[in-house]
Amino acid sequence: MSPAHSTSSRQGTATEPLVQVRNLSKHYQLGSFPFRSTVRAVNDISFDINRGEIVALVGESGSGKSTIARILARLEQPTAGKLILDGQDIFATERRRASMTYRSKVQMVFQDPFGSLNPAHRIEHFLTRPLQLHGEKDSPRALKLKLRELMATVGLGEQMLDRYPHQLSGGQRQRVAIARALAVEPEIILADEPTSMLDVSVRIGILNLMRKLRDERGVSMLYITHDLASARYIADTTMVMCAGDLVEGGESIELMAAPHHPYTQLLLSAVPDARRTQTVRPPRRDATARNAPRGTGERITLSASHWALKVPESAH
Amino acid sequence: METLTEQDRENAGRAPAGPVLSVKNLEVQYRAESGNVSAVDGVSFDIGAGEVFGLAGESGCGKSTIANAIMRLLQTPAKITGGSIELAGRNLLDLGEEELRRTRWRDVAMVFQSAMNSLNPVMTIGDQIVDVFTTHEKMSKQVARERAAELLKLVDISPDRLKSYPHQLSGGMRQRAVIAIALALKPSLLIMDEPTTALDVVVQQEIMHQIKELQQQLGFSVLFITHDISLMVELSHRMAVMYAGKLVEVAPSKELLDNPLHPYTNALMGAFPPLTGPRVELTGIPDAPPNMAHPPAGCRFHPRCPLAIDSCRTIEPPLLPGAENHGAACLLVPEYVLPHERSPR
Repeated sequence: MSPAHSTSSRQGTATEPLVQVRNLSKHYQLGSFPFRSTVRAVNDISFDINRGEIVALVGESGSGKSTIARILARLEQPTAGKLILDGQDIFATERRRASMTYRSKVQMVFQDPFGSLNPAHRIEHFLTRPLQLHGEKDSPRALKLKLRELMATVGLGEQMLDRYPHQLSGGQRQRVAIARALAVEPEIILADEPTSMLDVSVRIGILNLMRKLRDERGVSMLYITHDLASARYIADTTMVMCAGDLVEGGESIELMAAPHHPYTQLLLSAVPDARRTQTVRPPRRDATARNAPRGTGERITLSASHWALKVPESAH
Repeated sequence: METLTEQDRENAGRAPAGPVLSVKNLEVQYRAESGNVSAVDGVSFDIGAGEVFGLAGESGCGKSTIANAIMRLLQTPAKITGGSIELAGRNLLDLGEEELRRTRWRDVAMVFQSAMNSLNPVMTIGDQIVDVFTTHEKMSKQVARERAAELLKLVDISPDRLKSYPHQLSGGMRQRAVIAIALALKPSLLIMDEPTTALDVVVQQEIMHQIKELQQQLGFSVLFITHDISLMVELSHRMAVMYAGKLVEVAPSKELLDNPLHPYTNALMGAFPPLTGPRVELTGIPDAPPNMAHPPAGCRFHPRCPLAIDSCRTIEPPLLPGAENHGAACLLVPEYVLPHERSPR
């Protein structure tokens, strides 16, 4: 399961999950006294990401999925909870020193390939920078070779290195963003809606690339999306998020074939599918994330690889 | 003019023989220093009364340009260089500014992409609807207010919301309000350009049901534009697939879904992963859509087409009507016969 050529030193054992999230919460305080209110963006969440696993986190906007990505990328401090990467408790260690090693292991790919690449630089710059920052002292020739290899990995020609971002299409730019993330040979890539701004015909290409990187390099991925079909397409495991809670999780195909939680069922029924045989009743208007039935936080096991939050009897 | 449109709408409800909208050989060019770009190149289609017509394609294929051309909203550097757009028998391209002002909204209304952000943030929803009525019809504020309340009820929004500002409504509610406003003057044609792209799936489904209900209830025609074929099939009666400024296939929706003829239609449908069945490997469509300043010779899809043969590089096949109104512009379709090779009947 673990990649053979990974360079970074490991504290954890190979059987231990790469990422362990334990009881993670993020609350935002809104307003000021006496109108203060708390938004529970992420509510006591725990999950694992194994080495070489693609995990999808799906949910509607406002469900808290991007907040989780931001916490995992250390762009945000959690209110409570632990994040363990490679056996190391990330928020317990000193911030500045840990951050460099952390970023060499965890990289992000953002939603907007038009905004995430500085228009003033050539593609070469985006790939050289992370290599330099992370202490690689390569000869110019070795560097060139590395860049060429990176570009080939993401399916771009060497000649693209001299281009500026505006000369590339959206799909090509997103490939550059993925190459940039790969440059430091991370153990996990956090991809926040990496295809939602791309043309329909190039989306599959990016998803296939992500799966290829996992298969060939053993990179783990957290794929954040609102598109259930694409989660089913590339992710081994899918987790469904609703109003700050993880309501269901499991092997992607199994979960989507037999969704247990009413929210998962609602999400699945809303996906337009021309080939669906039975007609789907439009969802009740009150069945939105905010007033979805809240359970006790207790998980029920549906199979070895599928669980769901227990729902109050009345909601079923 | 007033009486004529009133009459037309009466007729629209009773499904007259002629189409509500008839686009013929429409050509739109964007003028650029480096040369003209043909964004829409000889597109023809009809939309019947009470018909929902879908237009699918990737971004940049020209589908929004068609919508803007029908509304006569194109601005320099875009220019309509040929063809005609007839709405209930009148060529919209001949109308002057004042006539256009009367026609828009009253005869043809449009819901724009991310329309929910097109509401004025400093006016209440009620004032914005009243504005539409008082601008286009002689109506007292009092009556307009009552009509506005009815209109909101039509899209399942409580009339209390007339006093709300746009930011006080959710995205889905705003979108429904925009649709209500578009329908205020009971147009015979509603153009919707990706009306649900910015919305979550659950809200999207609600909106789609709402549109379907309203359409069945009021009987207006719809030109529905999207890149998502599955979404379109649920709503539209007939649909067209567009690629690089041209229509490549037109068919009744179900027929198109079950029996797509053009390789591009096939590829576009294969670009969406399925929600059921075994895990499959999809290939997507290789490369990117062509640069419209220099479209490839022959069939415009041939550089990306897995089935392309030599003739595809030189012959540009026109879209021809086939059996059961199912037409495709592809040399490889078995029944396809080029016009000059056709035997006279």
